[in-house]
Amino acid sequence: MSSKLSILFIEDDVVETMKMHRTIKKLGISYDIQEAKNGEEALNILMEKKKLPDIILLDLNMPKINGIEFLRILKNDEILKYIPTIILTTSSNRKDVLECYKVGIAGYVLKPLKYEDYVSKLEKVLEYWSINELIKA
Amino acid sequence: MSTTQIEILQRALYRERESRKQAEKILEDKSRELYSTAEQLKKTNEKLKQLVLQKTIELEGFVENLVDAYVLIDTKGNVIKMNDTASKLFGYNLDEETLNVSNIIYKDDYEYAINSFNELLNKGSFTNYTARVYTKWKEVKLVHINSSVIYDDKKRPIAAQGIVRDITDETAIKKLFEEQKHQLNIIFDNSPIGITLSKNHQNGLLLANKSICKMLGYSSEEFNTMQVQDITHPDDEEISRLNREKLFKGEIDSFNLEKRYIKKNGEILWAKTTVTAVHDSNGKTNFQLATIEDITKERIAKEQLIESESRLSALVLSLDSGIVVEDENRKIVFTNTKFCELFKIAQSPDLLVGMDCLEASEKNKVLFKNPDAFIERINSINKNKNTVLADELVMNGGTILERDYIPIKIDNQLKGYLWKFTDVTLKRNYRKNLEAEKHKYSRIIANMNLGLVDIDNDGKILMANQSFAKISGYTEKELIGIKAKEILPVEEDKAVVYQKSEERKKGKSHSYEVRIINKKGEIRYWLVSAAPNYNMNNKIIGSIGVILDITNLKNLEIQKENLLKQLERSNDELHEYAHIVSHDLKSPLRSIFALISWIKEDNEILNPSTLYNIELIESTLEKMEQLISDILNYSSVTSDTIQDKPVDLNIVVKDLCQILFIPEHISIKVLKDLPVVHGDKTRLQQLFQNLLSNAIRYIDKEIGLIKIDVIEKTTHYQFSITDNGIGIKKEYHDKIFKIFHSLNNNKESSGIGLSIVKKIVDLYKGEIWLESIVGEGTTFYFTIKK
Repeated sequence: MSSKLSILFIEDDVVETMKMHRTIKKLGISYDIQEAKNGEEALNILMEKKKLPDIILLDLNMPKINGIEFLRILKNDEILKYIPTIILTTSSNRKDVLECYKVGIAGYVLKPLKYEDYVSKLEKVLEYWSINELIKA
Repeated sequence: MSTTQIEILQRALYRERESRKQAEKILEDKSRELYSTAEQLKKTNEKLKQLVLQKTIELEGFVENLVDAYVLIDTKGNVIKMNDTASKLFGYNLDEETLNVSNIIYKDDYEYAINSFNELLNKGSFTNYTARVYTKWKEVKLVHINSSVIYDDKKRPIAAQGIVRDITDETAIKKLFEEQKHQLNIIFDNSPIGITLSKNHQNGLLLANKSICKMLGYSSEEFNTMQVQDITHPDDEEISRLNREKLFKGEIDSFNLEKRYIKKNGEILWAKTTVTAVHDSNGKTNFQLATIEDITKERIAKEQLIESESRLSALVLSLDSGIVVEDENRKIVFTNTKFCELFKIAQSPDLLVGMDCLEASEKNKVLFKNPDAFIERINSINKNKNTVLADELVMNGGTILERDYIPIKIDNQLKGYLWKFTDVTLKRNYRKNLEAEKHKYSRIIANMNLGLVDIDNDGKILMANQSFAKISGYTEKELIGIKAKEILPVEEDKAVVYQKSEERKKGKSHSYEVRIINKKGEIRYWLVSAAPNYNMNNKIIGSIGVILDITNLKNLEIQKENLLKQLERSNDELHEYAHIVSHDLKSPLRSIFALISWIKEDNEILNPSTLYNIELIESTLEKMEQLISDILNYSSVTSDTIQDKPVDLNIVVKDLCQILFIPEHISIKVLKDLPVVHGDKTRLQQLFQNLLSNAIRYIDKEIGLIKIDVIEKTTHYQFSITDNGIGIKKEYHDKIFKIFHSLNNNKESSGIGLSIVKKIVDLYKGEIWLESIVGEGTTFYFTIKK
């Protein structure tokens, strides 16, 4: 891997953010992670367009702008719409899944209850995206 | 004196008388003898004298008494002598005047006369001189003259004598005869009637005119060698022959016959033939004159007439109306079967001819309900002698007759009467029924709760019933003539109404909903059923509309729709809510789990009881998570999200066998091919999944066996899933389907699985029950509607 995978991680829950960091630390691979507490914050980061992330990990249940709303804004942007967005959520609501795929996502991952399961899932996701050829900014 | 004396005296007297008579007679005879001698002498003298005279007169008289005119002329043409006939002919009297023949020669004949006279002088005679002469009165006469020359003793011509015959009349008659003959020929040739002349016992026709040739197609030459028999139709041969023979024998002078001839082209010609015998002066028949008149057309017309007459009388006879024709004296001339039938006369109609109608009606009156009125009416009709039509008569049996009376007039003269009787009972009753029906339907239309409206092709209202008036708010009177489609519908619906009206003009019937504004200005919903209205000629003359005011229904419907929408919305909201709640509930669980894990990770040495407690926390979290998932699942099983597609249950079960974790010692057997049912695949899968995982979960035997079976019933499929697990006690059979009811405290069981199963079976209008023996196994039965 020539360069670090840069990730925009959008999550409002503190513990979830901790889980992410801890997981990455545990996996022992270095990633370039940017965090956003909600959709609004994430948009601000993206609008600056200084350095666009390689992928976005997005939680659906968030205050202010929720995940799907954020996704729509993203997909309506001529440039941002090319960033692969992976949903990372607790909701297995069929309606949500359908809607997300309709708007355009690169993956939909359910957060498992068990921490070990979470680590294993995240490892696979990151590994997968690490070996993908991406549009570098 | 005595008698004797007298007698003697008398006798003596007689004798004396007798002797005197004798003497007288002798004397008389002697005188007569003398006289006759004298007479005889006288006569002889006379005779001699007479003889001389006679000879002289005889010479004179020869000329004088000549019937023809006699003229003697000198060589200069001067008339020397002419007899009386000549005088009369020419008008001249030689005693009073002189005459030279050159003066009386007709001017054009002059040259002929001079030539003839010269020839006479040269030859001594001239015969057959025919020329015209003038009489004294300038009449022109045609004369014929034979003449000769008189010579003296020295043979020199001294005079000419001629016998003149007046042939003026003779020539005229001859000419007339020629003319008449010619005329006859014209008639003969041009007569439209065929004429033939034939001679007895001689073949061929002597004469045949143009008409007969044209009629039969033979030429007159051909007729010359033909017999009448040759052209007579075989069927008429016999009668023709008989008549002809009679004619030959002189028994009859002529005969008439309508007979058929065969034309040259084989066609039949009907002809009226008259054959007349022509007798000679001895009364012997020499010739037959036949006139033949073509009556083929008349014959055909006559046959047609007879045919149509017989048809007509057959028609009248079998007419469905009773007919009586009376003469002017009220005697029956003609009647038919139907009349006898109507008046219950057990006789053939022929036998009634001649019967007196006055008597008959007196007899018939008892048949009628009001006999006196019947007679009175007949009498009054008879008195007026005017046509009376459709008089109604009621008979005792209830039969109603319609009577027509028609006087028959020919050339304005009354010849009789025609009575016609028609049984109209059925018709009358039918009409009455019809009226009753009509009344009934009118009442229904007026009182029915549906608006009824009859409109013409322009959309104008022709008729509207009370209900229509009521629901539109207008009075019936206000509605007539208005164009409903322009006034009643709300603006937005007018287009639809116009379109429908056009469709009806093409013969279409339909029902549609429309909003209208009633007289009060309120919007009402109408259900209109309209159909085109046709006249007798099957032409569309408008429409009939039946209207139901569905405003109340419509409002209820709208209300229902709103409620449904609301319900849907709240269902959706609830569904969303369930998801959010489950997410919100699950998130902390996950966080706790992560935190606990980190505690374990971060503290490498924990005492065993802490570790055990941590494990308990973890399993409780899992159970909690499962519970939340199941509740979410359970709440998702609602009818409004259900899909209705064919689902092959074989595939469903096969998929499940792969998805489910089945331990080595347990096998699942499908005993029969499972059916394809209609439903939502996810739900059906959930149903089988829950039952199968229950079965797997509670198997305690070393070799586990799960059997899936199905029985097809008339309306349902009955499925069964049998396990050889721990079994369920009878008292729990009902309880297990209730939510949150788990029989044992199995950590994998939230107690919601069977509740979901029950809920799904309920959705498919099925039932679920179970049979179980504790320690041996359980069979769950459920049905799904086909």
